Amino acid sequence: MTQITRRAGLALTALPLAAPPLVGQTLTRLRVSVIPVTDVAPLHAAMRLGHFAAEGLEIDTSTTAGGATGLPGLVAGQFRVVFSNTVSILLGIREGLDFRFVAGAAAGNPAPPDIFAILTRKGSNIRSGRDLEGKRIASNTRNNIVWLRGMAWVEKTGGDWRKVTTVEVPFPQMADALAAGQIDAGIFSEPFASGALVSHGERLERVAWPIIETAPGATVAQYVTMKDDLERNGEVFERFARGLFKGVDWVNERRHDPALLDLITAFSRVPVERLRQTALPTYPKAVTPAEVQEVITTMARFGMGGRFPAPASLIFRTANG
Amino acid sequence: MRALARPSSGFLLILALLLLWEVSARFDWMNSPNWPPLSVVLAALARDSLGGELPLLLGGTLWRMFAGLLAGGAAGVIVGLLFASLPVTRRLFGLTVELIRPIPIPAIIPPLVLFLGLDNTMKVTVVGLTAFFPVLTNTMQGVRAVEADALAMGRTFGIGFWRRSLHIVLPACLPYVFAGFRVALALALVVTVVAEMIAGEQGVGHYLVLMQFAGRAPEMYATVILLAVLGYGLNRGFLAFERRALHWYFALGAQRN
Amino acid sequence: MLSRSVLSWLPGLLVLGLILLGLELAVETGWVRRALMPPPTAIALTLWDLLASGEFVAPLLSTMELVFTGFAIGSALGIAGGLAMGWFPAVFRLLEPLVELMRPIPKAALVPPLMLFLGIGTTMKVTSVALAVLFPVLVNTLQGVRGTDRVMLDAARTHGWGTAHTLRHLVLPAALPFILAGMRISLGLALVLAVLAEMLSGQGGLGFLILDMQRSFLIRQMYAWLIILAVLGLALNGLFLLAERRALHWQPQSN
Repeated sequence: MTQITRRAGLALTALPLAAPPLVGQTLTRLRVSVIPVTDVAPLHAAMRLGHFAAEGLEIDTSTTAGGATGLPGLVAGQFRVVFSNTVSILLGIREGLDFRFVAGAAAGNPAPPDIFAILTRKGSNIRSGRDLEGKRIASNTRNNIVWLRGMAWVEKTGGDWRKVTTVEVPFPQMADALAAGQIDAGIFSEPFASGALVSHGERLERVAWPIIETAPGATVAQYVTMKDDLERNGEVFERFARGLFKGVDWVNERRHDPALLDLITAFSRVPVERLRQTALPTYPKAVTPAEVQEVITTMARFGMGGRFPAPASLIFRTANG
Repeated sequence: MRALARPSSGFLLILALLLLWEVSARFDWMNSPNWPPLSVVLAALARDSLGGELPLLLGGTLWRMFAGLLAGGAAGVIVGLLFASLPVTRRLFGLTVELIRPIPIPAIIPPLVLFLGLDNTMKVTVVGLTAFFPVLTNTMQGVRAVEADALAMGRTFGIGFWRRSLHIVLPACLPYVFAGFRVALALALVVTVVAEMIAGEQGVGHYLVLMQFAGRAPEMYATVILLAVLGYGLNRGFLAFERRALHWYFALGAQRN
Repeated sequence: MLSRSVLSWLPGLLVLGLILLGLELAVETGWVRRALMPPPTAIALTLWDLLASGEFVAPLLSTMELVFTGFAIGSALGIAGGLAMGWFPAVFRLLEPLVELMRPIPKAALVPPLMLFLGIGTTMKVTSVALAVLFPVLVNTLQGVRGTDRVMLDAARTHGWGTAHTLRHLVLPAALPFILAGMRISLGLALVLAVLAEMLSGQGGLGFLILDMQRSFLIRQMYAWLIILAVLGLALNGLFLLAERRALHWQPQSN
């Protein structure tokens, strides 16, 4: 493990600071639940650059590293906006919770390197879903987007997903578990995929980019809020989206620029050296009915079917692109 | 403390184990970057402690812990006094309390998140619930152990229920209450950290998970060491406090004997 | 006899019933949001489905197996360690600082290193349960051994009892109430750690199901499994009290 001598916070002084918010304007406080992953870089960039303050918003992030507590917190009124993976959002909608998409967040890349990867042990000769039948594959959580994309790859490469045992292993432990033979494959997301190949490179190898091989560029995560909050305060969320999209532009102009990596390090605490080898996602602004329908259709194939409202009715006007 | 003055075989054993940690990591016996040498862990601990980040987080964790401990403990004492002195209250509410007691705290966190959110309210409530039960059990045991004559005396002199509880029963069963608090203290630290690990952006628990997810094993183990030392210190501190607070009690007991 | 015990339970059941009724009304009138708290009758129906279909058996057994294995291993090690530390001063000096330092570490914080050393399967789960059980039992055993009557020990020595014989027939019985008290505390901890380990390792058992139901927003199912867990805890505690009364029955009431 490399020593990190420079405090991440100091590195940020290199970023340009935008003009302070208008004097005398009271800021609307918006609590946003996030996960410390590269997907939320635009949100942090917009905060750092003062784009939310310029919209009269004060963003207060709450990180949950361990599990999906963001959406329950949204229902409980603890958050106004939640970053979450598409499958978890749709599972809530299926159970009657009125989540609405306010903005896109992250999607797969059209070409490698991508943000999800399937890793196996070298010499284990597991190259397809068919090879995995009767074996153990790790996902950080069952019934989320990581698992869904992984199972889609299993099916696409000739395997029966019901014959593959899913084991839940947290991302930080996945490389060790795979190298030690406790699992036979792992569905990794970044930065854990590239991290595992660096730290365990002599024992592990990548056999697939599951999203690219099943639905290239498909969606992964969005920002959502509650329907009644949107109906009452739609204008607040328009300001949120405007600020966020300026962050998206800033990030998209600087992919793999040191300034972007410094920003990501500051909120995720992942060392910069590791981020240099990490694949970043595509950062979309919009959410399309087609991409939501794609996830619903795929979910139905893997035991998560049910009755869903029409995708277009789930998307707020800010996410229409 | 006493062992510190005279380095015993026990401290040699700890030193040997720590040395084994260092050597096993240096030579990569575990075959994993997630097993850093002790020296690197201590360096991370020193850096984040001196940098002020860890002390700040620790302060928040301790605040939540003590807030929950005091709230839950106070509730435990009050309910314990009620249950033990007014049997009808126990008849009425005992079953409900007994049903809640065995639900493990990690299982209670998901529904609590739904009602109380992810912040201090939820965490302090969780810690309070944890502290409530040991204190309740001990208080009830204490009240039962209070000399019957103390109670009878109170009744003879016509002292009312609340004054009797406050001035006769409570002081007499204080050692039991303290024993309950000591059990609750150890549990409270654990539960505070668990609650912080699950949700929110606060405290040592969150730091531990964040470092784990950032692939920074030295910082993660530094936190574990910090928690071990903290728990050890808290226990020692509480024992000293208890001795002092109960001093008059023991003095009283000595006179009586 | 039976009617009296039923009668003594009645007020408690009545209050519990009133609380549930209040909850039901609170949900029906919209005072509590249905998405957060389904009405108790709906939870009861879900619970009935789980019970009637037998779906509850496998996860319940899986959790119970974990609790009992970890509890048995942890208790055995705790009693053995406590006896050894209480009887042999050299062992005490060797292990006491380590025990005192290890005891306060939140076991939840130990899960990542445990995963590294023991993997993600049963071994890890059993070890974390056993570790939680070990310390209270050990500390209580130690206290019990320390409290053994000096006069009795002298008598045993003059009768020429060997160490093993003295430990087995004098010290262990004398320390039994303490050991059992430690085991009772540990049983609660064992269930907590079992559920936590299941939540973290994400396989089988009640802990995983509760977390999984919450993540999938199947709130009714989540509460139904929580009730099964509460009843398991209540039953374990009751069972232990029964066993304790049996174990201590033959012993003369000393205090």
